Amino acid sequence: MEVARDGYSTAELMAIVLAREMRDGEFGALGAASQIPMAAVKLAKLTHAPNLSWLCGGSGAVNSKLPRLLQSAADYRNLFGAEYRTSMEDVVDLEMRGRVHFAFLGGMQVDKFGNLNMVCVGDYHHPTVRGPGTVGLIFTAAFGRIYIYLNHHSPKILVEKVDFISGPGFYDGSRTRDEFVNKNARGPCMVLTPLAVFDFHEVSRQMRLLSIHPGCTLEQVLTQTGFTPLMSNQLTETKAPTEKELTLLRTHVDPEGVLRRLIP
Amino acid sequence: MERQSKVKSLEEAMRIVKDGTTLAMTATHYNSVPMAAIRQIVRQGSKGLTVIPTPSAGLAIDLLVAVGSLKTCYVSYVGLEFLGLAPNFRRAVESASIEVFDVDEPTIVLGFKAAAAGIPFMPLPPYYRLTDLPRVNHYYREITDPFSGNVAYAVPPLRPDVSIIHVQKCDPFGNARQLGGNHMESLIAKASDHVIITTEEIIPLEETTSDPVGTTVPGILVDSVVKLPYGAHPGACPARYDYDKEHLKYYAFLARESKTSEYVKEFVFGPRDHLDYLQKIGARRLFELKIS
Repeated sequence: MEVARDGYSTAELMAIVLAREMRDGEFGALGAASQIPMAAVKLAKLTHAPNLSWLCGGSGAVNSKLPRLLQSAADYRNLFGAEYRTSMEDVVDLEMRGRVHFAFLGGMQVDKFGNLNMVCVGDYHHPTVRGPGTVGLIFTAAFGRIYIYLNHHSPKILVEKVDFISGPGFYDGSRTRDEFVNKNARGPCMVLTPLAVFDFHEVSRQMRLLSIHPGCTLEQVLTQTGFTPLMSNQLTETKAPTEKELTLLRTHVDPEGVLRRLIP
Repeated sequence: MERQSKVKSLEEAMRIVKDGTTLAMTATHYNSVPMAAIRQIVRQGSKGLTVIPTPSAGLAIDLLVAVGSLKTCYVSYVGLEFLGLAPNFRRAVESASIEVFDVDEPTIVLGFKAAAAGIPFMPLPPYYRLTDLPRVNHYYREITDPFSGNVAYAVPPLRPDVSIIHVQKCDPFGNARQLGGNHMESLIAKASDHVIITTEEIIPLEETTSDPVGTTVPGILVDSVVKLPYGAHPGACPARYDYDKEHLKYYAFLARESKTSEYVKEFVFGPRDHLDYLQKIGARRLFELKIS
């Protein structure tokens, strides 16, 4: 399904797309198996966001400087060059109180309102697939912004309605969500896949196709999405990596080429 | 009179785990999982266990499910991280052969906190209303915040009968030092009625007293200390050794093929004891995993 391109891989493009979104001075968090967002924050710190701080998942590292992308964010080697090691209790405190400006999350299912499911496919009591569990997805109601990223774009993952809400996105699209979430939690702002970039419509709060990656087609995106997304009237092609972005990524963030192999 | 050492053999220390025990253990994905102790639980055949894992667990749970030792599991994350879903756990839940209480990261951390502090319940914020957790798990009770009048949720304390905590260093009196990551070992210890430390090495009390700030679990909470070099294998022990990726892939492969019994026969019941297990893994592999 993924398209091999000349010059850069899909995972490299995804990391660069996310890096461009990062804002200087903010504090972000990422979880397990997160090489793409990890590359994004590291790249953003080298370019336009030197004051960005980030929490490297289970390792507890704040501002890791490890010049490698490890398979596990929980790997203790991520503490290399870090400024602080959070405990699990610290993480819950920081996230629940709403001190985290943005986070990168995924799921087994994501629906058109950006709700996330990691618990089950099918009926909860008789699931066809039992997933690993909710972990920290509740914090979609406490983080400032959510970047949803998926390593696969499929109609089984991008669904009309999730079978279980682990992490609420915009819930049912109504204003109900706003009554219960933290004051500064603005919900999902982007869905990034190997094929395309989506955002959410301000009023209907439904997922909206924003750009399609070079080499991918609209038909491909629509066939691989389990609902009909809204279309941005500025629908465009995702901006390819610049020479500078790609060089920095490969020399300072991912010298071992993990992203080249992750999604070709 | 001489101060009494808490050092015990693995078999002796693990006898406290009986049929129906509620058990907790350290794990942050593949880090600091007390796998040697888990293998001993399998060997001694404890059944009907309730497990309260950490928010990101998998390997130990999947093995306990495979051998039929686990009856009930609290679930925040039970998976094999970069190796995918936990196959035995997945099948057991899909066929309803184990009981599951779906919870999440803050529910476990704050549930342990409630048990640690001896308080009756822990309140959680109103946004749990937006998830399906209260719908499927009756331990989430909707309450009214007595101060603001808003919705909140109450969850009960999580109080394990026994917890097993793996560290790099511990003295004979149970003063333990976790190097590298903090896997909330002191919180788990405070929440539990009985605490077993499994440790890569036993250090003299003088090493503890020369730097008391470095103690991460105080001996006053600890009942048993077991010396188990490479006791987290095939998982990782921060600042000591990496996870054994080939071994983990082999486990995951057999588990997916419903052949975990072959693994158990070879690596759990095959070796006579923990040192025999290490002999089977081999010095070459163990030295290759060492972080130096």
